[in-house]
Amino acid sequence: MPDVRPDLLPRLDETTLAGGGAAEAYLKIRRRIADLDEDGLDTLTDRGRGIMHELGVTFALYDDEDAGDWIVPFDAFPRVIDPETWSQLSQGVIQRLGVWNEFFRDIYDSQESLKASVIPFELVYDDPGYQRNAMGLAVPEDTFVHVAAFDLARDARGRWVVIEDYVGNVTGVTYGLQARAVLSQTAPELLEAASIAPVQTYPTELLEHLRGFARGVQEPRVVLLSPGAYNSAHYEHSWLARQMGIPLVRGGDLIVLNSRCYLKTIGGLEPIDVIYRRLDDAYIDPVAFRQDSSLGVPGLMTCVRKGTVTIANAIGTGLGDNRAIAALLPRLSRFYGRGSLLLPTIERRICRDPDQLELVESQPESWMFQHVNERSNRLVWHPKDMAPRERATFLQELRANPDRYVAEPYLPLTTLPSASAGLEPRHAGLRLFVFGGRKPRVFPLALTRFATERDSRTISSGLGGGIRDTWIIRDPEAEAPVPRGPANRFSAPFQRRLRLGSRTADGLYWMGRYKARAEQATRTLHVLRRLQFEAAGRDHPELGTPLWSALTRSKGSASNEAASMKSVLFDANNADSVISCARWLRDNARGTRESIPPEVWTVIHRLHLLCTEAVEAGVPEDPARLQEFEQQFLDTVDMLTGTATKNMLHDDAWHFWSLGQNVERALTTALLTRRVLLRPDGELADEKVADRNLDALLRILSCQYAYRSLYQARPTAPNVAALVLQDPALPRSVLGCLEEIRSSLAFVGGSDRHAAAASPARSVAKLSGTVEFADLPALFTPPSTDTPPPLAAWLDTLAAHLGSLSTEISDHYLHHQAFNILR
Amino acid sequence: MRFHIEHTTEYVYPEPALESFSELRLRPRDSLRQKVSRHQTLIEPGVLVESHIDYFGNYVETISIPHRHQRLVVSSACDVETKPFNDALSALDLTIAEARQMYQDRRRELHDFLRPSKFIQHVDPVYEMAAEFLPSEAPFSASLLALNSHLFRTLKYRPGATDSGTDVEQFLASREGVCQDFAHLMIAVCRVAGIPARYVSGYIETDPPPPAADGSATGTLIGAIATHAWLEVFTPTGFWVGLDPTNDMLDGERHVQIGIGRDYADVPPMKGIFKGSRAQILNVQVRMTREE
Repeated sequence: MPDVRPDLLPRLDETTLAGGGAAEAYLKIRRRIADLDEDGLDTLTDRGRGIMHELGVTFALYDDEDAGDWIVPFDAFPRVIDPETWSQLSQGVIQRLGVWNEFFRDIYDSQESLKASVIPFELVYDDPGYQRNAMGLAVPEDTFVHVAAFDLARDARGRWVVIEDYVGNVTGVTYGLQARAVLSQTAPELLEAASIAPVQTYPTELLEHLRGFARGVQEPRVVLLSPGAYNSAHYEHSWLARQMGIPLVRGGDLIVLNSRCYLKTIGGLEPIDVIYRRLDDAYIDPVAFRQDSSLGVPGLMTCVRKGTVTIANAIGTGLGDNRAIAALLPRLSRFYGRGSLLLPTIERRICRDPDQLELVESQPESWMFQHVNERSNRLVWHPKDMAPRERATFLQELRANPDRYVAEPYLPLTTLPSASAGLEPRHAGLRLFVFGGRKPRVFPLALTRFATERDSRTISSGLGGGIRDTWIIRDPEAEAPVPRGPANRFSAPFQRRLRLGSRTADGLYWMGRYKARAEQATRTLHVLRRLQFEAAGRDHPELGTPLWSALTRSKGSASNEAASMKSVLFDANNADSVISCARWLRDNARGTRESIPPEVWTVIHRLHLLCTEAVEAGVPEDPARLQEFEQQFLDTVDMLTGTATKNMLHDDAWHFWSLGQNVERALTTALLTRRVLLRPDGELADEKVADRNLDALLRILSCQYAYRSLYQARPTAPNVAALVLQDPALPRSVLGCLEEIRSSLAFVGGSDRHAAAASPARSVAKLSGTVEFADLPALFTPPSTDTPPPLAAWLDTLAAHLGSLSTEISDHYLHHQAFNILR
Repeated sequence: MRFHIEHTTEYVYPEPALESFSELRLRPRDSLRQKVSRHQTLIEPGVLVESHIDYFGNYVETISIPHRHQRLVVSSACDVETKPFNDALSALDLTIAEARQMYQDRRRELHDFLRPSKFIQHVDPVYEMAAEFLPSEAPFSASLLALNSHLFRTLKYRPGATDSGTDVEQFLASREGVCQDFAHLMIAVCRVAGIPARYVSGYIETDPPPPAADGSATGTLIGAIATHAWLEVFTPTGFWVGLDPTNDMLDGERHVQIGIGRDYADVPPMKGIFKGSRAQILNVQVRMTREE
């Protein structure tokens, strides 16, 4: 039992504990840093920070959505580990991983350890991480833990102990890699102080390691499954996926068909063999586990049961978050015949045990309390820092629910000098990463986190801790050859490059549609407002009616124009309002941020801000300012068009953005034409009404000049119809849009694999022909005096075809409704 | 007794649904008291049905409908034979405290059925009921039967008062509900008293209605019943005994078990997810006919 106050513990510094090569390296580093004057040190710190920023090494701090991403602090003074220590630590963590793997194998099978009471069964059965659904599932090579990490610290005697086990979800490896990248850019001369193991091949080796667990596939496909952009570790997920060259996916990107898991791409469904997941068990399959979550893949468990996909780490390993089980690991190790642990667990007390509870209760200020299985770094209690009343409350809770807590002594957490604080000591922790499997091994990469404040022990990145590089000194004699495929063999000509993911394509498609919809609605309003100012509009209020009805996408007239204008612009409950479209546009853009240039995101964000700020500023209640708002909005939309054209690669992604815009425009043009030219019953509109509205229609579609240059006369219904429907040179004409759609589809869907499917490309070609060769004069001519001209029916059919074209595009590329695209 | 059971549920979607994936628990389990000789699940639209056995030994089928659909019909048909069995309760002459003592050897296996679960919270009123009906010194069997009767008499059976997501705490506020709620509450009281209890979902044969005025038989009830629910407690002698507080009886040959679990959450007849707006259950029919 620790009988010293934590603040009186001796402070052990790694540089004085080090021996051999490490001591030598520390000395050199110290000298080099000491040689720098204050300016030199500041530069070192600033450059470190700058590069961290550039690399985007960030961490979303918990509970603080608006704070944005926090840049993780970096310190140039590295940790150095000599070969002997490294080998000793490696053996220790490999052994530990082996015990954990054996434990999972046992728990999800016959539970011998529980039957023999090696550990209390309640620890397992009451843990939410114990997955009853994973019982009896076979895993490839009996491997549950494919990747693990262990946090180490030294106890008061300088002995290494494990303070945290990560055998479910492993994080932090990216920071370890980034620390090296930052150091080599800020202070390359430091790296000359020792011969150290390179780390940059880690992502590739991780990929090879994971591919080894695919079952019966020649060229297995691996994806990284992430909880999405709102997760605090999203940076790590996207970075790692990019480095490994595998798709970063979310639950909705995958689909299960007949017990096989597929990735949805615009080129069809791609079978997936290994899922490297960063999503907890509870969320991974909303049918088998938590139904209230939409993060996972419905039915994934059926694939696991059939063995068609490997999940790394295996389902059920979340149980490894249980700190009480980790404390009992020595007993498990002996039970499984693996001897005593080379690296023991910190002296952790399990409060559900009455004797241990009594012990920690008698001197609570000597202990740090943690939740038994919640890993949030907020769930830590320090009675030594509590006011008497607070402490009493805590102890009461501890006695009421002892099974929720474990207690640990405060360790020295050895210190390292800080280059950014005049070589003052700062507490630091060490994390090691291990590959599990038949031949487990440790990659020479470690993460050193440190507390930025003097005497603080807060090293977690989520709470403001920083990172520094970790050097593992090479021992050429001991270096074992890395098990990997023969280097001189030709790899099978590796996989076709993956096409754009369907979710991303879907996001871009809808961004295009919402952008065009918001633009068209604003433009229509703008023109209507000008009509009001002009005499004709005031004298004949019924004139605007067809346009109004087109705007609100409903039949019937708007009773109160002012209210309708407000609703079209700012009603958040109206799904077609400008503010709603701007919001959907932004939300879709946020969901696909990794595939759009930051400049484009900025304008989209601004567009949405424009709306919300206008609402806050009371613009909706002030008709005088509406016009100004509309103009600003249209200017910003133009800016978006320009920025996107300039900054986006004209690839698959671009074409889906363009498809969305053109589908929306074609639909709107068809709809407006129908409402302006014809009465609801299909008869041609009265000439007086039509006259003014034809002019408005030309203005809305920005083609007055196109019209005049063609006809040099006042607008007539047949001429306007010919222009807005059939002129291929007019960007907003139905034919113009269809031609754009046709060329986009030719770009994205040029594969003959789809020949058998109902193909949108074929539909659009047909539709283009129908529009291009439509005999307009005939459509304007009523077959007899008492029947309306065929134009109404023709336009209605056109709108219906455009609607089903949109569905076909969705089904074909995005929702994979066409079964025969399944290879 | 031999039964032929047909259970059909029709779902309609106001907006087309797609990427639907569901787990079905409809096939009665095989046990000492019942044998399933035939079972078939039909899905409309037609898709592949796969199956596995879950943690609690229940038979689970999974279906995946990726393409757009506006209607889903799940029909399960089976032939089951139930067997008479001895009343394991009346022969037991011991107190609840003695029973608890005898569970000690099986604490591990019984743990799940002694702990609170998703729908079964151990709240104060449950402790009060346990103190009143299942005190330590009381006789084991008689007390359980008394509790069963008490719940039957004091709880009001009112379909629609609760839904499948109602838990014990919510049910206690109104004490009106259906068999699922009755079973949940009784399980809670047993668990608090240290008696292992588990949830059973299944079918029960209901009495045919009286003959019509013209004397012609009206046959079996159609659509008047859906699935039933009751509970089982574990006896110190090693048997699970069924109690049906909705009908104030022990379970018998007219009860057919589908599955067991800690509570309803472990054995819903259908549990699924899809893209689209909400599904509506248009029609549920259970036809249970006794075959001579």
